[in-house]
Amino acid sequence: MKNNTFSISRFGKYFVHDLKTQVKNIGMLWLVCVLMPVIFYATYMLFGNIFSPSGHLYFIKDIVAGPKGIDGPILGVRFAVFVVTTMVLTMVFPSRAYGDITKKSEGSAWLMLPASRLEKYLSMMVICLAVVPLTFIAGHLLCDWLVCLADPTCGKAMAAFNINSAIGQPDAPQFVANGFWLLYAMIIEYALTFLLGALIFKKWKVIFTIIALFVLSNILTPILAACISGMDWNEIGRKIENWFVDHADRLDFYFNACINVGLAFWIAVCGTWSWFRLKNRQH
Amino acid sequence: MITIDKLGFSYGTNQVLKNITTTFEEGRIYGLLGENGVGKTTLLTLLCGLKAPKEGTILTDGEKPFDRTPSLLEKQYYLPDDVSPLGWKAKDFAKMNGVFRENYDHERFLAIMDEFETNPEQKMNQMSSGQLKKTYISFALASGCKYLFMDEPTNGLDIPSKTQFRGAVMKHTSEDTTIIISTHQVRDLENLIDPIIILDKQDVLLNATIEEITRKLYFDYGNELNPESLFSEQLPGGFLQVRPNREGLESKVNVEALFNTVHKHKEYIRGLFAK
Repeated sequence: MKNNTFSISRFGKYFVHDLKTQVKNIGMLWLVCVLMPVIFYATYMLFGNIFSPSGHLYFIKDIVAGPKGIDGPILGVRFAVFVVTTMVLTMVFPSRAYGDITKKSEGSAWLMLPASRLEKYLSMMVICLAVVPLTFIAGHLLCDWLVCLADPTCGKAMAAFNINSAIGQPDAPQFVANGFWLLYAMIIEYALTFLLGALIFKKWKVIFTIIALFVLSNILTPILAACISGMDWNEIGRKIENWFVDHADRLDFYFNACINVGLAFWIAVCGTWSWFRLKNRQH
Repeated sequence: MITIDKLGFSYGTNQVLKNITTTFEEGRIYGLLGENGVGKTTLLTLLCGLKAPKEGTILTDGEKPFDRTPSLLEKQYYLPDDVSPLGWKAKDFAKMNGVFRENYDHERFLAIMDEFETNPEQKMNQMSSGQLKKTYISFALASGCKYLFMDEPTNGLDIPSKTQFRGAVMKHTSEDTTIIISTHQVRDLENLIDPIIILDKQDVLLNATIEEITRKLYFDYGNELNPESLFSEQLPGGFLQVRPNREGLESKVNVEALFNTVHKHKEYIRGLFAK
């Protein structure tokens, strides 16, 4: 008798099938995002070397002769590129990877694949929340490190950045996993939100998800404002201050707990909603 | 075996299927006929579990299709009218999807593709709609599934391909395979489908084998009109008539004439085949 809920061998087959499909669907997008440090560096240096510091255009022969002394992009600039690339990738890839499930023809074929709902859901989550983000982060940081290795004027590689030492105060809360977890948590939240949007909306999935988030925040903000408008802020401020003093030795624990509880809540909401979208999908 | 009991389905307030009770036996090639909008595609999607019944039940080998259990999904393949032009080579698509089905035979897939004169090395998104359809049909027949649901499989096929389709279905399906084909192109499948199911709005008008049909109805290609004829059509040099077969004569079913007869005399046909 076959196990109709979960079987390792069937999950393995399905996961490989899903991975191959996603390489077709989002492989190029992923590659461009991973290579972004190199693409950005090349563009930055090209445009930086076209003009002289006084604003005059260099001649081609000057450009060919070599760099005119401008430094490579510094850590802050490269970090901004990383954040923008991450945002774009996490907003776009879920709908490109799984958005077709809402289409009649592609969605029917997907539903009819002989794997259980749980196996399909797990594979989708592993790919969206682990495989794509982790390989992207690793690939992007590796490319950034290679750029820094090739041109030392870029300074320290992003992989060597330490958020706790950057804060620099010994009594400040220490972030878990040196800030990597913060970054990963942000990616997971975005990817899951846009995956849910891809499973809810039939078209314009990214735009409609952004609009939905905007509408949601516009509904929640006045409600929250109404809730807190009658509060005594001096009293609350004093309580918070006292709490900080009382828990000063474990602030990092509470800080990281807040991040993780928020992440768990968002994963629970979007994950459950996505599950029911898949479970009850009809074509 | 597929058993349907008092099945009902509606899109909002628009009731499409109502109180349908019928069975699909193993090893038969069912032709599902009906006018536009009577719910042929809806019935097929209900049978393969893409939709959940609003009323009644469907049981395929004792399982509800909408549960979409892997054990049942492995046994069935649904070929929609509108197939996706994926970015895979046909042979890679077949291999990738074949791993899920124990009885999938890649050599058979290549053989059917060869019979259809379609190149398995070609990318599916570079194929014509006919070639694409033939790729999916080849996969369906090579999948070794016990239940094949095909929605308008001959749409988009050229004349030789329609003949090849009939040949491939006869050659490459096993004795216990049940195929349900929904179609408007009755002439394409005339010698293939048996039994024939004719759907009407919210009802099954006819579910009978060719043998039953010819036992009860006589398809007469004569020169004179018979006063008992239920349906007649003028042909060059005579008439095609459908009339009750009181004399036990043998004839060949003309599916188009049968369809028109059933639609013209719904209650009479129901009564005739209920006996």
